[in-house]
Amino acid sequence: MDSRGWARALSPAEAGLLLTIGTLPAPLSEAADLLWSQMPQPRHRQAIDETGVGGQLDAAVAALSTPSAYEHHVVGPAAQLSQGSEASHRSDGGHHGGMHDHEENEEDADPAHELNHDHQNPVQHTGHDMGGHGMDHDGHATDEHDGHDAGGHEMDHSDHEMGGHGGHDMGGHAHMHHGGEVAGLAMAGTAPDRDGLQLDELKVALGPVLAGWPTGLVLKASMQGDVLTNVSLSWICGVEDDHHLRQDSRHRSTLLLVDALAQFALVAGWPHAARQARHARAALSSDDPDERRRGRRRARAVAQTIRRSPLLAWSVGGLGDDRGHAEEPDTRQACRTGDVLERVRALCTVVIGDDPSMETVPGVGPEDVEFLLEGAELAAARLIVASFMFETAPTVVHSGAGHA
Amino acid sequence: MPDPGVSGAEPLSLAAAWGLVPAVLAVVAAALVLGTVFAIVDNVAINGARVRSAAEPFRTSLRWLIQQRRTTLSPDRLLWRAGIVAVPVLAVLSLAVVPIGGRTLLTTSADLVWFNAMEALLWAAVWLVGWGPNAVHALVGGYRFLAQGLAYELPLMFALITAGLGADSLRTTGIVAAQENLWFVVTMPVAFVVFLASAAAFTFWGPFAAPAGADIASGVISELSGVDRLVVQAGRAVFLGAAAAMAVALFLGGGAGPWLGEPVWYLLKTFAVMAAVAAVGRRVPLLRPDRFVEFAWMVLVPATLLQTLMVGLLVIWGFYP
Repeated sequence: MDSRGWARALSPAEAGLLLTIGTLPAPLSEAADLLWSQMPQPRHRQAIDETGVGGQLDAAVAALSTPSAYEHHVVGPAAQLSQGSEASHRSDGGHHGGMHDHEENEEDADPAHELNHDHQNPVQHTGHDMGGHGMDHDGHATDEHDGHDAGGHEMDHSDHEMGGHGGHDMGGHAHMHHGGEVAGLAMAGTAPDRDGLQLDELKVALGPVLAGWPTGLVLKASMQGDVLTNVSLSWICGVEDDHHLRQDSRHRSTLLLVDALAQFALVAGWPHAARQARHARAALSSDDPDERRRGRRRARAVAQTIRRSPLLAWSVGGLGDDRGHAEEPDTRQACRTGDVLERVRALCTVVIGDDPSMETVPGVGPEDVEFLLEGAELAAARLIVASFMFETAPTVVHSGAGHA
Repeated sequence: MPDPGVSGAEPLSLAAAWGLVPAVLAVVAAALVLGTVFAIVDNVAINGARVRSAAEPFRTSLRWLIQQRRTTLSPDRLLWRAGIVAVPVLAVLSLAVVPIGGRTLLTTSADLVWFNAMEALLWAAVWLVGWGPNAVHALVGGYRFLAQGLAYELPLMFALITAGLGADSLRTTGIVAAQENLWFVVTMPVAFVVFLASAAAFTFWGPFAAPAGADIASGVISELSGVDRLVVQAGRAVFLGAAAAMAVALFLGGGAGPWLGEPVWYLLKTFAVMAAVAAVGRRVPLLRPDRFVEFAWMVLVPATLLQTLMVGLLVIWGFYP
């Protein structure tokens, strides 16, 4: 995508093109449908398979400039759009760039008419307006639209305007109240916050498809201000390795490490480093040995940059420290990893390969991370999740059609 | 205290010289040029100096123009729209006191305060853009902007006032005139750097982009599409362009320079400032507002105060003409 000058969209509003790769398992395709329902026209949705990726991308962009990219509007100067500007991808390069994951790119438009038609009608109308409130965009969990849109809502309202709603002012209620309804959605209730104050809480969900987030992972929590409580983190489905990852394990782990660095850099607000890491990843997954060597060099360079950056250290140091955490599960006592910064530096060190004692970074599961997120701010929670290498989920149940 | 004599005489404003309508059109045109140039420079910097990406702002703008405006469930439409429109309007208004070509659109006796006021009103505008759509990420982005505002606002004010103090004038034309012999950047390096960093902060750009961060799905702008997004993004670019132009007036001697005409020098310097800002700003990671607030209060506020004190002493000693 970078080589085409396409940008990844961070929210559905920004997107024009939704690319899905391979066959999506059910939870992800539901998420993709919701995402699609929130994208503005002109838009296009395309499923990419393993043959002729370049051609399919070109076709997707071309489709953006056709009348079918608009569903309800008379087409005007749509043709001009052809350059399609940016594609936004969600996981694209970043992730298991490959075929069988879902990556969601978002850009515009689409001929894939037949496909869409199914959801379009249902989703578009209900879905559309429901669109973007809340976390959903990034966050649609399969779980419920109402759930979170309502979400966005509530927050504001009870927060500011209607102080008096439902048990708002009364400190004593331990549980969430519904403060009434706005636009047919329940208002947020209140609950004690981490300092024991009664604050509004909002149910939110992050994932399973979200920029800079392990695809298939879902975080559900209550949010007070931007502090997360009652966090639960779990896989709703796993992703399959793409063909680059189905290689020898050493190469596989290098690719995953570079992916992780790219994701982390994105979440940490360092698009420059994220881009370099994606470039390195693209070169590394080439079949040409020279290109791969170049990829390794680039990967080492970007890892050096990240490891050395004093600004990054200052900005993210001290977050998500798993040492001496009271709620730490026993199983984790053995493998403490320090704070976000130390984990990311460990990633970098493995990529650079200058410390023979560090061959690899241990993979973790959601249960190893969950306890760190309790009481974290949204920004910190994102950084903490991005600083871990997750074991891929037990590849699931509905892993779509097998690949060749 | 020496009186350089620039604060007394009322300089001729663009509006007085050309009539109001042509003057306003000229400023709007200048805003578009500055915003476009900044967007181009910025895009080239983002894409690792790929010159081809210079066309990107045009392509993207076109896309936004024909894109559907998206809405959310029960938004606060009035305030949302008001916030969206206010961003570019404030950007253009702030340019009204920047003396490109030696004259400003308006001449007030306190141009610096005017500029600062436009930027302060941006707090309300950005917060409304975050509040309006009734969405979590946008709202979190709006609050982050306010938190960031607490960090940059005071250092920015001190930086602005330092230039005014050195020139003994709050008029930008007066400040340019006072730099005939020596650019203020030489005696006010801290104020210069703080001013540019604050400009990045109030347009939530580069290392100060937390209100529109990737971790909250681009925050305040996450729900904007179509013409709404175009208007807000254009406003941010114009603001950054205007701030670069203001930095030239305050610290780099305005349009002064040999051989070429004054407007030419002015624009060249402005473009150079933009290029420097984009090159540096796009290479560093995000400075998270919660950490940056502490730095701003513990380091930047004292540093800018010391800078102001130093300039005040130089004024008393008659260093400035």
